[in-house]
Amino acid sequence: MAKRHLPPPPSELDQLIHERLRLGIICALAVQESLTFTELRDVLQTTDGNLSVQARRLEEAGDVPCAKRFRGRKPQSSYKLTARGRSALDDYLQVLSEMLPASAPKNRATLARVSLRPATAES
Amino acid sequence: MLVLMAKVDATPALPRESAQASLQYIRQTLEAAGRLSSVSGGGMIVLGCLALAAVEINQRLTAAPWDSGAGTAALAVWGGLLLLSAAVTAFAMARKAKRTGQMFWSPVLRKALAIATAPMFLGALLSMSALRDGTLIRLPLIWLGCYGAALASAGIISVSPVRWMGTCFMLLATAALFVPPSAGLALLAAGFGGLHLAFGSYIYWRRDG
Repeated sequence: MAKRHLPPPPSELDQLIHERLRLGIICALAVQESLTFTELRDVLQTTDGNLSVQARRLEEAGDVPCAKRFRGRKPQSSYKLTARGRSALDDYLQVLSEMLPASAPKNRATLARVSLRPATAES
Repeated sequence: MLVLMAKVDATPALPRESAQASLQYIRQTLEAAGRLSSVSGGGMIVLGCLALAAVEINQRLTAAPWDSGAGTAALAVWGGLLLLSAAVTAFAMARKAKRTGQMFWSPVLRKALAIATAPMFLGALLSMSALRDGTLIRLPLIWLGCYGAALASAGIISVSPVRWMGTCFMLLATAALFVPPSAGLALLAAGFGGLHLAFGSYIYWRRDG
């Protein structure tokens, strides 16, 4: 009986998304259809190197594909969240919500704001 | 004892605390990502050039509204600039939004416009009041101040250069209080021309156009 009230173990959280910067990337792309590398860097207040490494991990997992193009002579990378990434985020938020007090309206509002957005097409 | 304390410190955070921290981070990210980022530096550069052209026209052809015998013609130059600027801004933002794969007429753009409307409306009222009272020398202060207030307010949900540009406009408006009326056109040139060119160039080079 007592076990039922224990919070789920941390291993249930998707560790790919649970890492701080990768969680930030996915959440930012959940509310903005597409963001360039520079915009993501500014939103997450991180360095080029860190963002590049963590975005590549998500790209390899098929969650956040990167589209590269040239603007004049400067290369520009932009990112979108795939349906797979959206689904992974929804699963993550589901586990997260089970860990949090369900009565807190602020918690519910934050989780709903991320998960209610429509998914972008799989690229 | 020290070893014991070190072991206690190394204990991983409880899942619920970790979840709460994650949620806090999600909140911060949503707030930051919900900002208006389709502000076009290229569009601002065009606005700066148009404003300098308007100052030149005022200087050579009609004189500034407060010095001109035909005040309506001089004011029409700035009215035309306002309409042209609105069209250029909309076009440049739509183009940037399309290029970066974002929605142009987004909820955050509508919110920014709603925020900017109040100071702009106040600017229009004060301008009409100055026109009626014949105190046209106050126009640079009114225009720079109200436009600056609109940018600084809307800039709260946009990229930081917009906020800074709004603040600079308001500083120029403050300067208008202390300079002779003959410097009015120079202040308009510095604000609508110089600040748009400077911040537009920064946004163009540092924030993807």
